[in-house]
Amino acid sequence: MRALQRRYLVAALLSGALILAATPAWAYLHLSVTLFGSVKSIKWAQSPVRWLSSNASTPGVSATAFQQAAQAAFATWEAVPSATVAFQFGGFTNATPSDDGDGLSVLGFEEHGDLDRTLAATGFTIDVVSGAIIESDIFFNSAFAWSTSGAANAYDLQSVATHEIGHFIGLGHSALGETELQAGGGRRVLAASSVMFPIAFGRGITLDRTLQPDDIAGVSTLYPAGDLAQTTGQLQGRVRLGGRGVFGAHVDAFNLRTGTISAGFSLNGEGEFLIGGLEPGLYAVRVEPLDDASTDSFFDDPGIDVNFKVTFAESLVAVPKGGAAPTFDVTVQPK
Amino acid sequence: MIRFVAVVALLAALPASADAQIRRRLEVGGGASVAGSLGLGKRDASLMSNDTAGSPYRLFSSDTRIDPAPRLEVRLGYRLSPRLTIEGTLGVAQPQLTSSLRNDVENADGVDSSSTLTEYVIDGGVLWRLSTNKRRRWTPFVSGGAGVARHVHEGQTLIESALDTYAGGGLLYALGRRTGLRVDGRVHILNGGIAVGQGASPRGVLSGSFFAAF
Repeated sequence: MRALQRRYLVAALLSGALILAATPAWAYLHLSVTLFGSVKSIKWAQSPVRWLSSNASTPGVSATAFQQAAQAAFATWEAVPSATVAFQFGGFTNATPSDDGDGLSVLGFEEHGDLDRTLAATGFTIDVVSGAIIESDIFFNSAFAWSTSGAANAYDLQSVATHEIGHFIGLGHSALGETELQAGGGRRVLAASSVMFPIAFGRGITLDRTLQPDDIAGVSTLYPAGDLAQTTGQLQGRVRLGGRGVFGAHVDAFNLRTGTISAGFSLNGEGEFLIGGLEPGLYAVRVEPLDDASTDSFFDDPGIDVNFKVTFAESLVAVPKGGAAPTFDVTVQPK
Repeated sequence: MIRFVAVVALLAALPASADAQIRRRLEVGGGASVAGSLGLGKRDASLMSNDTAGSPYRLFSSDTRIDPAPRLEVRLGYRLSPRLTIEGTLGVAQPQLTSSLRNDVENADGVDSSSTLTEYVIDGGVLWRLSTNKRRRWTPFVSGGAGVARHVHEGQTLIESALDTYAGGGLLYALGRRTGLRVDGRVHILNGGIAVGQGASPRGVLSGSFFAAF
């Protein structure tokens, strides 16, 4: 692991029974908790969501420049037409992101020299009955060099803020990326197509300021606009290996006409997956093991199966408008 | 295609020759055809590279097509003049829709991923006889027209429509005064709908049918 590893999700626990995990109903992932035996997506119940900007600054980024970059990142999520999430800037504050339980959602710089692989992290306080987010804070590790202008020697603040705000609203990590192992440990991103991929692009790269189809599908299914269910479709199936289900397989859905890729995971012991919010059309499906980042970037469950070959589905899948394509199986082989 | 239709329209406007003053009549036909492979386009599944431009990083490639398949056709025509017939055709086929998935960045085995389509083609067009010599049984003709292709995907979950235009030619063979055989070859071009790549792709269709005139 290296300093490029930016995104470390932190759960501010209110209950010992709280476990961040994937919601079986959707993928990309949505964050969820198991409360009294019931799995719930965590999301904001109120709108707009009020947030505060810390007065802290770091060399090269003033508090005002930080607020402007964060504001732009919030606006990016707010602008998704198929989603309804909205935000309101509540002003500057001396409170810090580490002040949990104060009812304030604060974004700002903090020095975390001990977290040498973490660019930023998001924490939550949630209602243990409903799963609603009460408070969410994001710190940006000022042990790293930051920039708001895409400077080549620093990480782009707006890009990382866009990723963390994805967590802030309840999205987990996407596995739509390819990485390579570094000689000194850790992984380097070769390519990605989701802001919610857990490992950052390099210094000076601003690509993650822009949401990708996978991100848009994720936020749209978590905060759906009125006609989302009528205008998009779902793709569902099972990943099987030797007659049993594969848990934690990464499933890519490739739209043959538009070239867009959305992805999800098989989320239970039957290997079942469901990807929603898809533009109607014809899809090719590819299944791969979750081996381009640490599996605990995605799931708390240690039982992720990564011992199988990358495999294409034998059938093309027609995703309808306002419904689901027939369920299908993808049979994979062990490595 | 537009130029061809314009030519046919001009020909239709010419007066019929004096020796070919026949009664206008209805023609009904039916038969089978074989539609060739229709290329729907190539497209890469790409991620964004870890560079400032986010240049494409190919995850895998796709090349999609409708495979050759037999098609049943019924045709209704109305003969306006000794040379000119207007006609409508309904064709039904169940081809395989196949996408060849190759060049995977993680060396997945390439596959031909497929599903079954039901294809309905409804065309309207004109047929122009190049000869009206009654002593010959064979009459060559050219034809052209346009219509709609409807593709119903397996499970009837998705229906897509495309503009279908065609041009071709063939031979009519008279079996009697009112009946005959028809053999023709056409080139169809599909625009929109199921087509996944850039531009339109041509498809050859060879058909044989029986017709009767009333």
